[in-house]
Amino acid sequence: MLPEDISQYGYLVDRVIKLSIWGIVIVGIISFFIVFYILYKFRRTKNPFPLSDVPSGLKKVVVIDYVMIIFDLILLFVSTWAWFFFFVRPVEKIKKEVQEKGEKFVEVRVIGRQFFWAVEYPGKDGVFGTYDDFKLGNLLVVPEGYNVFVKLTSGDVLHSFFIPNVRIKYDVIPGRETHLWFKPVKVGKYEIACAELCGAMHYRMKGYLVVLKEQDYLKWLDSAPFSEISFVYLEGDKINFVRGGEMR
Amino acid sequence: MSEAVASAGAIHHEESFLRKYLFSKDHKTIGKQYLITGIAMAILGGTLAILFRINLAHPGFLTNEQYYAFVTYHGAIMFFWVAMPILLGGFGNILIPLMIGARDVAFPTLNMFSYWVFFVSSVILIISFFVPGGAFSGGWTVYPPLSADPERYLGANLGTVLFLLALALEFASMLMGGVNFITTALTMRAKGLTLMRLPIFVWMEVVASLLFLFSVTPLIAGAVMLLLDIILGTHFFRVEAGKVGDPVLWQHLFWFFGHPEVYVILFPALGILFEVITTYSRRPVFSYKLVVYAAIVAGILSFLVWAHHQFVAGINPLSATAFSVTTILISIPFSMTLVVMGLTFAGGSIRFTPAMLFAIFAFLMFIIGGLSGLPLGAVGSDIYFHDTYFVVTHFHYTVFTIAVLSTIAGICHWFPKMFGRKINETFGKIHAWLTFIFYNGFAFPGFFLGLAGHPRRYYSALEFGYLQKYQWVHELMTVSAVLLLTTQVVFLFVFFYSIFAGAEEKSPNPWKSTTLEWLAPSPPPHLNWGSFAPVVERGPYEYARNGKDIDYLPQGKLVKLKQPASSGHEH
Repeated sequence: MLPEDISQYGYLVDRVIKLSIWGIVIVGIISFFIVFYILYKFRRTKNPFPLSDVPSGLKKVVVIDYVMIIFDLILLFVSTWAWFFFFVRPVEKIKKEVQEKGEKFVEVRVIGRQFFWAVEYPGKDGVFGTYDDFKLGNLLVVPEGYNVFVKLTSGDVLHSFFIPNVRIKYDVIPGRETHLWFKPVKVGKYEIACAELCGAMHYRMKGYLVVLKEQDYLKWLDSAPFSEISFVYLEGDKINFVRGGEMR
Repeated sequence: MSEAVASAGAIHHEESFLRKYLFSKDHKTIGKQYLITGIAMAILGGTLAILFRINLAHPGFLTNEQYYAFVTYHGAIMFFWVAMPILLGGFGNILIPLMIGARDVAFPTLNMFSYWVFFVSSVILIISFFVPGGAFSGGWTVYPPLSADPERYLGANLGTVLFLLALALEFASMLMGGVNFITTALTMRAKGLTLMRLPIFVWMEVVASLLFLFSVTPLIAGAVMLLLDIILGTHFFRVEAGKVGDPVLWQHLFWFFGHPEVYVILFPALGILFEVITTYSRRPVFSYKLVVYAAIVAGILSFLVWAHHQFVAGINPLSATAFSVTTILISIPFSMTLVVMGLTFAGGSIRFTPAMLFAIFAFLMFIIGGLSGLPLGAVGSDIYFHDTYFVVTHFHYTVFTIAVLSTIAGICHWFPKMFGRKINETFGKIHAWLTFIFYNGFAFPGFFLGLAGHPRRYYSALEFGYLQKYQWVHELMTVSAVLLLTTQVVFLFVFFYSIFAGAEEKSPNPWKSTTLEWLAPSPPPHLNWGSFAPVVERGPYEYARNGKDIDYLPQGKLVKLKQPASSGHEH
């Protein structure tokens, strides 16, 4: 059911999802089995008069409570691990760690608006506020294997920036700046959804995450003379204004 | 025949008809008024749900504005105009005084007033649907700035204001009811009825009323701020350059109320289930004290979990971790309660009456609903599941179970007491099975949509490539939902038919139940006990005591009063 995970660290979230889902499926099936057994065994036609006490074997069902407590603790541990990794550590610290590991990163700003994502790129120099900044509508183009740091804010109402394929979601809030971080490791075109009701066209607030090979990305950046918001949508698998960059 | 009598009464004794059926101070009549109004609103809320559900299967059936308005009103109606009035106003009013052996609630006039405030709030809500500018469509959680600046974002200025006004009146009404329940249960219990002898249903109503009392205040403050934002253009939640309000503040105020609110309706439903399950399995509650203490602990904890609705909403990530811990913690008292409920069946002699079938199905659905809360409470997986169909499915497994399954279990169980008549049993059993099947057919696939990352509140899934392949799931869900509503509509016909023309129930205690309400005649007269007064001698669930012929001991007995009862307990 889960969409393909194309990020380096998405497995941390997947681990929590799988642990919690399998845990509740197993506990649920066992509970249902016990309930059906009890209902069948103590039906009126079989057992016309109630017993004066619960059979001692069945009293052991209370063990489920302890099982749940232990399961809760394990789940909390794994879950908090993922949460700390993505969101509790300050972005600056993550950036520093990434640089120390010798990995590269790009930064973008995403502004949620009714009903599109405006994506601001710092351009070739990687610095915001310089002449080569440019904006694109609904297109987040990033290089494969780079860490991507996204600063989120909203131009109007609440939105929520959700990329199912990298298992990341965070609300986009007017008057505040929030942060996301992910590391895509597979070339391709993926969808970005809005997950917070933002008005009548909420369901059409769709963006694309386009992951390019490093050299394609650099070529694309060279040929990106965009200085104003561009509402260019993807057509099929092609970004129609890309010069030189070949999508695979 | 009784219809003719009623209408004859209306012609010849206009005033007494008004006093008896409209502006009555009798807790049972008020309870029935709440019940009937709640059912009427449920038909409305259910119809809205079917309409937008059809749209999800065939996008284009509604416009997107209609879709979002329907979704908004469906949520608000089912929570505030169905679950609360039926479980608190309806069952609470009818049962609390009877179960504690009182003649009425502590403040009968306030009680009448609370119903009429509720009625007005329902009318305003319906009016708000049709005002110029359109119905409010910002979601039942009313998140600003979308809701705070309707002119800019939705063009539904008047609709939003009326929506909030209706909510405020509904809260006022439920507060009056809650004060009544708490006072009644604490001060008007029959002789010998100690707190630890109270039926669990009464405990649950009292805890629920207390939760509501404590949690609603911040929301009322928030609602006033929101109204100021809308009407006067203040900036509590609105954000504009230079004047920065904070939309997240609303979420805190809303969910500080919103989470306890879930338990406000959950607890009475659990109370109903315990009454029904003990009666039809002929066994006492496996551990009465554990259930009561678990409810109190969960009630207190429910004030410490609200931000799990906001894990990825911009709150301090470290505090999200703390709220994740409290949320997982709160699952412990509930898992204990459910284990106790399961063991209450054990050793019994189980009668599969309609009420019992509904209670069993409700119990099973609560297991699914409770367990599916864990992936959402665990903050790591909530990153992915937040605001997806997994959430929607989780809360439908709890709230539908509360508002429909438990409620119908209660209606089937207390119907003879309320109306002195019976509902056909064979029909009831078929109804229970069909409800169970169609409900799961409608709800369960939602878990898979959630896993697939389908965001909630989407007018159509066809816009997104990764969701298109799940369109057939929406179609399946819609078919089941239509069948589910149809089943309930048939039930309502039978329900109303049985009120007027069902077979008469002669015995005051047809189910051989223990609690005090079964000592009163069916239906109980005004002031309930006539020239008798109940005296309580033992705990509420004395089943399975001497095995064979008499397998239960009533909680108390009726004692003849020396002088006739006065006109009740007006204060």
